[in-house]
Amino acid sequence: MDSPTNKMVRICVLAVLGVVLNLIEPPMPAPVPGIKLGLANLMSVIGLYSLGTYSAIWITILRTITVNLFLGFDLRGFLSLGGGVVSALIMEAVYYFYKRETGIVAVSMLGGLMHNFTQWLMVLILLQQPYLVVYLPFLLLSGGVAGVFVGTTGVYTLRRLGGFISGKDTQP
Amino acid sequence: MKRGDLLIYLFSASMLLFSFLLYLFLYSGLGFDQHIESVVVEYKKQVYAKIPLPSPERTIDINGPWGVIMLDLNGYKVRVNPFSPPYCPDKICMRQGWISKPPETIVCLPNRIIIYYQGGKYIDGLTH
Repeated sequence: MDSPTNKMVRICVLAVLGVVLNLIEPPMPAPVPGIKLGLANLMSVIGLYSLGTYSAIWITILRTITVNLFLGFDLRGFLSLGGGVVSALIMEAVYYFYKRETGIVAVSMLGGLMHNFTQWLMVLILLQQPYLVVYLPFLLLSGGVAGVFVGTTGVYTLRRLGGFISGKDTQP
Repeated sequence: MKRGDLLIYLFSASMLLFSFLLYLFLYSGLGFDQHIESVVVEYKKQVYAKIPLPSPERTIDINGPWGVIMLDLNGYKVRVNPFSPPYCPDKICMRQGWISKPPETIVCLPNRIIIYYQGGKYIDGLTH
C-alpha cells in the first residue's frame, strides 16, 4: 500500500480532480476584478494532509500545467503557475516543520493569502506601475477568506474520505 | 485552535493591516499628487494614447497591436466601453466600470495593457 507507484497514482487522481474543479469554477462577481474562490486548491490541501509532504507541490504543478493546456499557455498561465507553486511550497514547509502545532484551516488560509500575494508581486514587477498597490488589501483579504473556506471544506472532506484517499481504508 | 495557528493568523492579520494602511496612504493623496493632467493607455510599457483631462463626454477608439479599445470619457471619469470589441476572453477590464481618481487603474493582464492617470510634476518625478 505504501509503494511510490501507489502514491503517484493517488496524487495524479487528486490533480485531475483539481483540473475539473478549476475548469468548472465560475468567476465571482466582486468589486475588484479577477477574484476567484480557488476551489482547485482544495485538492492540494487534501493531498497534503492525506498523502504527506511533497504531494501538494506535485498536485499543484500537474494541475496548473494541465489546465493551461486547455486554456492556452499565456501570461495568465505563468501567473497561476507562479502563485500556485509558491503557495504550495509555503504550505509544504509549514506542514513539514510545524505539523503538530498547525491545523488545516490556518495552513490553507496562509496558502490562499500567499497565492494572491505572489501573483500581485509578479504583476507589479511586470507592469512596474506603483498604483497597483491599491489592489493589494482586497487581494489579500479575498485570498485569506477563500483559504479559510477551502480549509474548512478540506477538514470535512478528510473526516469522511481521508482514509480512503490515503489508502488506509479500502471503503469510503 | 493550536499555538501555530495563532501565529499564522497574527502574521496574516499584520500583513493585511500593513497593506490596508498603504492603501489608505495612497488613497488619501499623501503618496501621490491628486492633480490629474491626462489618462494614459500603455501597452507593454509603450504609451499608445495620452488623453488630456477633463474631457467632454465622448467615446474614442484606441488602435494597437491588441486590436481596438473603446474608451469612454466623461470629465475625469474613464472606463472601457462594455460593448468594446473583445480582445481577450476574460473581459475583466470591461466589467470593471468607471475609474475616477489617481490610484485607480484599469489593467488587462493577458495583453499587458494598463490605463492610469498621470498628474503634475510630483508623479513624473516619482515614476522616472
